[in-house]
Amino acid sequence: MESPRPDNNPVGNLTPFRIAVGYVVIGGCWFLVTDEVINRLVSIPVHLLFARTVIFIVVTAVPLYYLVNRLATDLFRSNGELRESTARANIYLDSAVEGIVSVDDHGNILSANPAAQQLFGYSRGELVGQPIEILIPERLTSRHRSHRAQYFEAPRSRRMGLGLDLFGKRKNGSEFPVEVSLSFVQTDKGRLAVAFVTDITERRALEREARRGQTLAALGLVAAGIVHEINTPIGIISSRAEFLLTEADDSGLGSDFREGLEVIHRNALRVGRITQGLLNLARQEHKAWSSLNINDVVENVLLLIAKQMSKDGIRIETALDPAIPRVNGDLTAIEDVMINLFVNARDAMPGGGTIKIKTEIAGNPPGGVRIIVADQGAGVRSEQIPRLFDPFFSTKDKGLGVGLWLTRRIVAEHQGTIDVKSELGKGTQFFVVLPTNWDSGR
Amino acid sequence: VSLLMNLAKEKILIVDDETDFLDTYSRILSRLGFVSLTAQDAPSAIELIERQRPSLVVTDLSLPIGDGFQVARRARAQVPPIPVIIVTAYHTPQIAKKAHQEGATSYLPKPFTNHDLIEAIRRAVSHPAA
Repeated sequence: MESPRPDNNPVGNLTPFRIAVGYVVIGGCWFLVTDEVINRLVSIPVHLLFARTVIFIVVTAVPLYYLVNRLATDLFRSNGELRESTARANIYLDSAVEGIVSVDDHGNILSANPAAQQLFGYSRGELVGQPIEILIPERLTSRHRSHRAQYFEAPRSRRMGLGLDLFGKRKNGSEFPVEVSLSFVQTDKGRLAVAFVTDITERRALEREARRGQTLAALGLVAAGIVHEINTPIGIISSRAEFLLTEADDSGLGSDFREGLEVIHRNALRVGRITQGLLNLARQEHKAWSSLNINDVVENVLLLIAKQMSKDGIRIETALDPAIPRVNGDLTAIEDVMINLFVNARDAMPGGGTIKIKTEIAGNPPGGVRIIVADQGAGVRSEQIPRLFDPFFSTKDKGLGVGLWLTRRIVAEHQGTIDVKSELGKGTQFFVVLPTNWDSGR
Repeated sequence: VSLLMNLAKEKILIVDDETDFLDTYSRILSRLGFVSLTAQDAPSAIELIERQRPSLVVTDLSLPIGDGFQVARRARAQVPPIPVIIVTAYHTPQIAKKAHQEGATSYLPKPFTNHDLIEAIRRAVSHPAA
């Protein structure tokens, strides 16, 4: 901080000088008048009296000038310091990221910094004089009032509501999670509580994301354990079926048996692929990327499941646009996505119905392929839609709840998106968009 | 397969703790003309390696006594070394690397197809020293 110097101090230079001059004039007049009176009573030569007066006044005026100058300088300096420290405090308050609100012991807001105004959606000056409870959701205000009274009885610096979830209320009524630390100041007008408020919406979201990540990691471990247990028996089933198929030719088994063995073999291989897919998700293994024509993938998957579908009373209508671009993808993974969506659509219609499968160019300008799978089932309640992709969430009685979770993971690994629209009683539509022109980096 | 037929009556040792696994692959290998020996743990596998001198060992990694790496080491220590195919349900890149370091000729994560196995056997017996 720069201290003010007397020589460029208007108070220090002019005022003391004026006071000294005033002193000279007034003192001079006074002495001249009194000298006149004295001279009338006692006869002293006039010039001696005059000289004495002039010398006295001039000699006392000089220390007076310096004394006043000194006092004025001190006054100016402390004034400046006060101004400066107030300005500095305001800089801290104005630039603080935290909302800072001071409150008197009646709960009225005395000040709120710009961050607090912004946080709670108020404009400048609107908060001062308001009760602090306007910043708190109604359901919490009575609790807050009693806490506030207790705080003013024994104030100390601390975090507010340790272990509690605290919420702030904006001017528009919306709520947001906050963290508050409390402090207090004793002034000559009484005690003030000062609250430092931080919006922790983002932190909460990150925490949720982290918890979700941990859940998924734990889930991955569980999945890996299950997959390892399945690998041996499913290997035995597929190998044994394959072996029996080679024997079948020699032993003259009927075509029904042969077909049955083929179904067992094919599906055992599929289980192997699915479990491997689960493992891949658990440990993000390298995929076999290639350029895919999604129409071919859809048709191949349909070949695999068409027979079963028609047995279940499911009709499949396709509208595959031959002009769709090729996408970069892992064939097995994309097949799993299709199988999951088709099987889900079938399961949504236990009494049979039609599955409509459509492919088209997505985006404008074209940047990928959109695959739409629509069923005519009962639909999904709107509150369930956000949870559809959660692991172990299922709307089916016997669903494990990993199908759509797996599907979304695969689509995300392909930089794609999956969306769902559902109408109760009319059916559900899944929209998968797989972009072209992206580098899988492998 | 024709190469495999030429190896008729060669002995292959299969080591796994699952009897269904042993039974299935014994049948498949017999069908291809091999004589299959089976063991369910490392000590009995090692005894068979030393007494019967099989032309090839196919071993699982997790065994109730010992593990597949012990079996592989003992097979590789024979003169001449016996080729080894390691199979495992607990596939990780680290295990694949270790299998290679232990001298396994091939490494097959479960589940594998019969074709995968036959390919691996063909490679192992055609380059037994590899």
